[in-house]
Amino acid sequence: MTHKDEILDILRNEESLKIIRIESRTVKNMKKFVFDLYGCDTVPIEHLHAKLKYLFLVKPEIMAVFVKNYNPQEMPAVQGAFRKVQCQYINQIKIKIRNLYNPRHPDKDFQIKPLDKGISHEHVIHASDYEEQVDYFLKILGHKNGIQYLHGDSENLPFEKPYYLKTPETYTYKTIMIEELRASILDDSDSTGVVHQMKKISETPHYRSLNQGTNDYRNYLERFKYTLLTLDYSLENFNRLNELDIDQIKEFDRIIVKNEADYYRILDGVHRAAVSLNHNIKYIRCVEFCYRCLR
Amino acid sequence: MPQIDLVKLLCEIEDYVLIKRSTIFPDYSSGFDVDLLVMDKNTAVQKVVDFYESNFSSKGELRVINKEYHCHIDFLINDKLDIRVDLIHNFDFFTKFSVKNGFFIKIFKDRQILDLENGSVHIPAPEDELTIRYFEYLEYFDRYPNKIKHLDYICDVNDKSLKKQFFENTHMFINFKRQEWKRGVNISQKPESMRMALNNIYVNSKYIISASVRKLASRTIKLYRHLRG
Repeated sequence: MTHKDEILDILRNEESLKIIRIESRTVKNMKKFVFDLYGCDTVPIEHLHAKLKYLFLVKPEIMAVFVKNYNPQEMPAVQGAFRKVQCQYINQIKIKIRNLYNPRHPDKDFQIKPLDKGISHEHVIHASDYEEQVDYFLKILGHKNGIQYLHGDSENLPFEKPYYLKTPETYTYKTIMIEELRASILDDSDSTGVVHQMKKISETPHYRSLNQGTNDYRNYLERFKYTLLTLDYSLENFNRLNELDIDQIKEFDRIIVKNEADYYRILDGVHRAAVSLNHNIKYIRCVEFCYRCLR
Repeated sequence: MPQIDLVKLLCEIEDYVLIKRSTIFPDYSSGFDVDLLVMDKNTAVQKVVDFYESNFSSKGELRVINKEYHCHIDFLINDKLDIRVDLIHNFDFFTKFSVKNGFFIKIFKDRQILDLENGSVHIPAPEDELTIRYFEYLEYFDRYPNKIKHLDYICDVNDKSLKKQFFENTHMFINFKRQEWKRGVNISQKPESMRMALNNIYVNSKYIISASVRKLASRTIKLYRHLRG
């Protein structure tokens, strides 16, 4: 997976795509995984066997990137018995990435359309053609609720929440002191494995990187991204957030918190809180989620 | 002292009908509630949140409580309720009767404009207002005796044609739910299997033994008291 960062940058730069989740996996049995994956294609697997053979020999590591497509262009594709629906927008991105990063073919004149001349068909990226296939793939990866897992249910709320948070019965718009916030930070410095530690914003790797110029946040990402941190975090995006105008920082989307007796635990918005504190902002606008409120 | 300009808030919501309006509206006292029928709950919540962000966020908090059939939105100042906006998007919460969907549509179709000093608000047609108050009385009177105020309100109406319209309205849109016996039904049942028959023997034997023990104990106590006395 030598070009993963470049591929992610291409996806990030697509205006109509929003990366929802990125997860890396090591696959035990690559052949089985490939057959399972292509089990949802309209083309029977025996027809694809020769085409996919190269995958059985590669390192059994995958990176699954789930995106929200705001520009679906599903059109009939492939004639005859194997006809299917395919999103032309995703297909174009897939072709662009394959042209850039598929291994070069030894024969410079080799060409199988739609790829350019000299490009092999050992694809670095595979993409679903329509939403049902995403549901299928998620289930293969072990997310038993399939597409519902990523869908969340933000449309019933007047703000956007990450898919992994349950919709609360009660939520309160309020402004609170950043001092009262705690962020759940992953820590594997002990031999006991990875644990979540509640830290003040001023003690997070996020804030320390901004305020003291340390490499803590870079190291934190390197250690946990795509495994335990599956949202699309990047150092560049974080730095860009910090460089925004103070008025834009004050107008950040509200962070989401939960009251834990003597502090507020951040459920979404550690980066925004760290940037705000770095700009000496003392209070932050938030939405407090309450899951078991008796009122 | 009202902290919220209710007329401005209602103008923001647009697709609503203000029901059970108080006599002092748009004034209110702290802890007061405003009931609104809304076409789309999520859109209405979004509009209230927008109003909060631009008019109230520096003064206090906004708490949204989503229930199955209602949505309460509380404007809070120093943790005290200033006003509650109750958004109702259907009448499915009534338990003693059901209201036909057509009534909700009729309320919106026939809503009227009430002009006030600083704007106007949507209110139901008079016969719909009476019907809604009657529903409230029917549903809650046994639990909340103060709901008699709705019946009083209806009885105080002198306009005979309005009363006639109200009766027609109510008859047209209400379905009473049949009252059903919800506790256990004590009918001896013929066993349907060996297992059930054995179970019946066990249950009956247990009853006979425990009843006999209770009877014997009670007689012994009586005899003891008799002998001592």
